[in-house]
Amino acid sequence: MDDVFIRQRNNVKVFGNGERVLMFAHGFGCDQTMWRFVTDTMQRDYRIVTFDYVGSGESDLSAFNSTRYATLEGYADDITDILEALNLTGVTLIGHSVSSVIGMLAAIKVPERVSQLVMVCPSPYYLNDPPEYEGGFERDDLEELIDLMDKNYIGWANYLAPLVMGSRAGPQFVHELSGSFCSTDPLVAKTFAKATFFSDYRSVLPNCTTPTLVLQSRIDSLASVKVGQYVTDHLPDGHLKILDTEGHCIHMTDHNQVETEIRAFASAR
Amino acid sequence: MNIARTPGSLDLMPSGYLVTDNERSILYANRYALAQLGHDDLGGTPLFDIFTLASCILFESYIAPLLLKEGACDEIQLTLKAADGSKRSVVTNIRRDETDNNRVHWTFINASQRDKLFQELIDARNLLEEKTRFLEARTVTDDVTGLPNRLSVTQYLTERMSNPTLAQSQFVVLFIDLDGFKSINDTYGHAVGDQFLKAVGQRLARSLRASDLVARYGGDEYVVLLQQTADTANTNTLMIQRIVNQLNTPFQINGNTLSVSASAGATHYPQRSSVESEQLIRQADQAMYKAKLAGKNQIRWFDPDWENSQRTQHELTAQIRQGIELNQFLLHYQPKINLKSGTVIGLEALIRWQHPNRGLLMPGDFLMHIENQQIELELGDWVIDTALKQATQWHQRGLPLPVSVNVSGFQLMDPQFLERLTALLYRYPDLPRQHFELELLETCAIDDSMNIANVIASCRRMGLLVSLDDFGTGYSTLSHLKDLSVDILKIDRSFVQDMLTNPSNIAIIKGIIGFAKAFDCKAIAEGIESADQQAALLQLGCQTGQGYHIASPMPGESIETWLTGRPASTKP
Repeated sequence: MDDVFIRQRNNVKVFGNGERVLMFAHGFGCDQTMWRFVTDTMQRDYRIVTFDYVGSGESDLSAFNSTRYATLEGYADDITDILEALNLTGVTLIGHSVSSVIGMLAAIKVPERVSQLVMVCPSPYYLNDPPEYEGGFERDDLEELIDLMDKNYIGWANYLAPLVMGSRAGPQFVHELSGSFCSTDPLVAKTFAKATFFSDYRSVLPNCTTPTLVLQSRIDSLASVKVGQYVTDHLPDGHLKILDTEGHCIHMTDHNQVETEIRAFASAR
Repeated sequence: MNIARTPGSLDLMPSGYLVTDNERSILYANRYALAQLGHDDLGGTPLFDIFTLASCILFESYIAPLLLKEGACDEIQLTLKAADGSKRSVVTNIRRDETDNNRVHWTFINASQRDKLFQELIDARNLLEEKTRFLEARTVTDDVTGLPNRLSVTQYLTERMSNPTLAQSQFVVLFIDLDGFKSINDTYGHAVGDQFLKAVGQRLARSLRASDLVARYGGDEYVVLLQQTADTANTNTLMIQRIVNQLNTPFQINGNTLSVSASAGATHYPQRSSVESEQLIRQADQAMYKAKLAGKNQIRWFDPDWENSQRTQHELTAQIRQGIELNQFLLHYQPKINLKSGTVIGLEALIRWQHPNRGLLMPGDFLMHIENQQIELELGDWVIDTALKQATQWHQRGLPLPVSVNVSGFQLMDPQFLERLTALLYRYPDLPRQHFELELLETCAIDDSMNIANVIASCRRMGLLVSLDDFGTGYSTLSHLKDLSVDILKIDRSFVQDMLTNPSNIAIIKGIIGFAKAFDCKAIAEGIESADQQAALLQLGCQTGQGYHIASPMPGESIETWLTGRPASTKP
């Protein structure tokens, strides 16, 4: 594919000095600017690649395809497309939250391009699957999430727009993205949410031979320490680091700790 | 801000108010908040204790990053958990105070009214969805037969042909029209007619495979799309035959035994040149029409070459019509002489087309493409008019040269021919009628069922001369010749050309000359290309002739110059 097209489609940014390439993948709900606390300082020593998944941030919304992005493999394809467009190899790929799993899928697909993975607050499956697995949520919780998203993301007029426009109009977007942080198109957001919260990637973990650092927040209501432990245990080359932090967005709230760990991991290899 | 010294006025506020620290612990909750959540005190309680899990996710993935980046977040709907486990739907506005340890201030109001409206919106949407589905079904389905309708099959075809994967596939479009349906409607009424149409649709549908499609196109017309599995036209025809034959078995409708047959037209996809869905259906329709013309209860395949020739013909017709307006047509005249004396006895007018791009065109270049069409009549009238004008001019200048024009069978058979000819002659009253001659191909004159003999007789009664052109090529019988009664027989050039080497041609020429004498008309030889041929014809008793040896066809204005150059005795 045309690399200019990919760069524009995913709003790819390449900056910083250094031999080693760090690629940062944002999580569900926001965009690449989530990483700026970390990249602001790391760009002095590393070449940094950040991007927005199609449908997020300032990506090209017209490239959104509800079939492709209904599963995390579609988002992983965004990553491999970018790696190929920039012709990068030996990259350290850092993913937050759902992007931990997306990054893993990309690493399995193009192992020569991804030499290290950093998973920040990962979860391969958000639902409880007793007795072996505690994802943290029941199906009702996640249904409620989708309902809340409906109520929060969707302008009420837009709620009826697809019907008024007719199904033949296809996945066109009647409104412009406001461009503000974290604003997301309702269809895109729900598609991403469903792909994130209802899919089970536990069985894929053993297929990922890439050396992986799992950064786990001590208190994280989305991905508990148990989940972080599970991920590490099932990765062939996984290393768990539990940080003394609280919350899920530790790359924003405790970015110094996160940066230190990434630096140590990237330079160790 | 010192929470401990907060005036009691916050407790009077009719909305919820919370303050949390940057560790997400609740520092303060006003009375309204406590009452809503059923607590006496929330100080020190983790924020997430009063959040449902869904709200926790929303906080982590949406609110928290937004607060960190922009410091504020408005009108977010969340679900809170009350002490008794019940849920409270709320709308919150949130602010982070950078100047005060990043404490976060929350206000919330009850969202139950908003929830109710949202539920109504969902109900409205569901209703709208249901109605839309109903309407869509109505617009794509034919009421009478329950089959897809015209719009639907056209759309399906368009989508299929634009789908890159499916567009590769081959299929056949079949257009079926019932023969004799109208009489069923007339005899048994529309109710029975409708039931009959439905039964036909069902029978067609039953005879198809899962990959095929049948639609009612309108009236008693059905369109069938057949996925092509075999690549031979023969197999396709057999398959179509089987489908169409099914309709020949009588139908039982309300105790009536009803029979029809069907005419069908078929066309293939893909084709050599790109086609559109509506064009495909039109092609099949045209082929069906041919099947009807061929006697009904038949199948015809569409011929793409025919369509191309039609298109060429349309363009040519338009060009000719324009050519007449722009004076691109002209007449050249070939002298006819007395072979013995050399005297000029007349001139044959021959059409030429000074084409803007293709140069000077001979009749053979364009006339055959407009045979049997209206434009042939228009051009024919132009020829007669122009030749009459020229003959009149010569006559007025003291050159009494009879002029002949070629007339096609189609012209003669036109019911208005005599009327138009009379009108044209009327424009040139000075020209003696016997100075104008109509040359008619012998082959056209043979089919006397078309009343040609009567038309020829009428022309002669007007005083015009009539000759049979290319005589000897048309197998006229003696009795036929007798009925035709013309003035001149023109011996076809093919006999003249090799008369010197081929004795049988001499015999034919002798025969024609004999005919002419027997029926009291003249004979004139065409295509004389040498002095020897001229001499031989004279010897056989043929007195008149024309050909390149004598003179090539030339523009009207050159005729006088040509005449001037000849010995005085040969002038008319």
